[in-house]
Amino acid sequence: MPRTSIIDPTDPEELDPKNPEDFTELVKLHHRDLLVYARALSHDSTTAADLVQDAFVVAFDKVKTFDVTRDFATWMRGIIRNKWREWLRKNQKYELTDDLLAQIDADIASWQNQRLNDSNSIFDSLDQGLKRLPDTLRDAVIAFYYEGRNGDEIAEHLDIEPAAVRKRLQRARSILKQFLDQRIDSTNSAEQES
Amino acid sequence: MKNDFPNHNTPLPGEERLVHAALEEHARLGSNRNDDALIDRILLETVNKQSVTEVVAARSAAPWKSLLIGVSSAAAVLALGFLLLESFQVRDVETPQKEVHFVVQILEDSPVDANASSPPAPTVAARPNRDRIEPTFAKVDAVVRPISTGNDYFAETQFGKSLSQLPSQAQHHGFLISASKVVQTGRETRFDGDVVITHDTWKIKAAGASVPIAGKVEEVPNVQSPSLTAFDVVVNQLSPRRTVHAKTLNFDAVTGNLILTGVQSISSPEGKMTKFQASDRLTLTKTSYEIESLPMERYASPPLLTPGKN
Repeated sequence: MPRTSIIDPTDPEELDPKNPEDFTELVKLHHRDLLVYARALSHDSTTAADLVQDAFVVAFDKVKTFDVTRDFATWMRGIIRNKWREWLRKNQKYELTDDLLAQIDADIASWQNQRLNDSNSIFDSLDQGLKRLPDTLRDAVIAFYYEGRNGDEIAEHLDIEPAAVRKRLQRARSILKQFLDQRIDSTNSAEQES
Repeated sequence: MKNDFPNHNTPLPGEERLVHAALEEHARLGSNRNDDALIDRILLETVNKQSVTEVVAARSAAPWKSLLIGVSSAAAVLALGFLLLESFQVRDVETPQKEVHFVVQILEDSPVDANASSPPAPTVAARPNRDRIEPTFAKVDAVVRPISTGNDYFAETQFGKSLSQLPSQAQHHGFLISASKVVQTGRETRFDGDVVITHDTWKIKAAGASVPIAGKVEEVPNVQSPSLTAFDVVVNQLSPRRTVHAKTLNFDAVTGNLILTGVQSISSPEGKMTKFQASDRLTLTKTSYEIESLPMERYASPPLLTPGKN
């Protein structure tokens, strides 16, 4: 199947957002990571897409103020955070504690840095993590996230209680998080040794 | 529906939120795909917007120049006019005007024949639409290259110069097709029995399907025909979640939409609809769907009845 691959520039850090062509490449390079980040903050896919779009528009408008010695992804996450806070004020949604926000930001930053180091996106790592999940947990994850079933449907499908489905999903997310963190640690270690 | 699981009211603990978001995004687009629609929207608001503004600015300078030239020309014409008027006044004194006579004639009323027959009243009534709606496909400045290799079928659409303002000049649609029986007939490949068609957006189960054969179909500009057809279909879409049962399916490579006729039901998070007319047509896009029904038979005016003729 023909698929548009995420670009793999030789050195993304050399892309200059002030150059329109480079800006286009940076949009392609970062938009999905930023979508994940915005989803984690807003818990809503449509809002996440709006936040990412608005953030890139702001970045483009203020690109002259961008300090080229800074990391573009970090700058973008900062804009998305501000946009998300605006959205929170308007929509009166739940708030995240500063600690939690800092933790989410640190995690996504690690994942984005890892991609720069070994060219593996967070989604590649997720692919590998999913393969290593125990069957019982993987079945619940596939049914919930990839087949779009709800709790009752999964419970009926797997012949277990809905509470058990919830527990399995929670356990699966926890294992996947550990797996992703380990991969980042191993990548960082390998880079330090080299 | 993920109604009783992670949602706005019960946000996940911090350490799970990012993985939850990553899994949802991974389920939506896989590992190695871009969100092309989002990229296009961003570029239209940023990089491409700049070029549009420049063009508009360059064009908007032209009217000012025209206005300046126009005002100068008008001033010159007025000055010339004054000079001519002065010369006419001098001539008026020298040559007297000729007299002009007008004759006003009043016509008498012409007699009206009360017995004369009046012209027939218009008898054209509104012609009701009795025709069945057939699938129609976008006719645009585009070329579709159908390529089928084994179980893979691709339709690449290249838009022409008249659509150069579009952010992307090409579309690629890929289908993976499996079936109990595959037959190549003339210009197409036919799939029969337990046909499963997998696309990025849809998974389609059908009793049969057909696609053009690679190399057998020329590159056709201004495409009006579908590039994939199937019958007795069940279309499943994951996000947003929808299921459609229909008699026939056509894929329009130009718009990238599915056009279904003989629709039996459509299920979506909003509910299930089952009452369709045989002639209803459903257009399914990646984000929405649209149902077009046969218009009700209505007359703009009742047929004219003439005494003695009916």
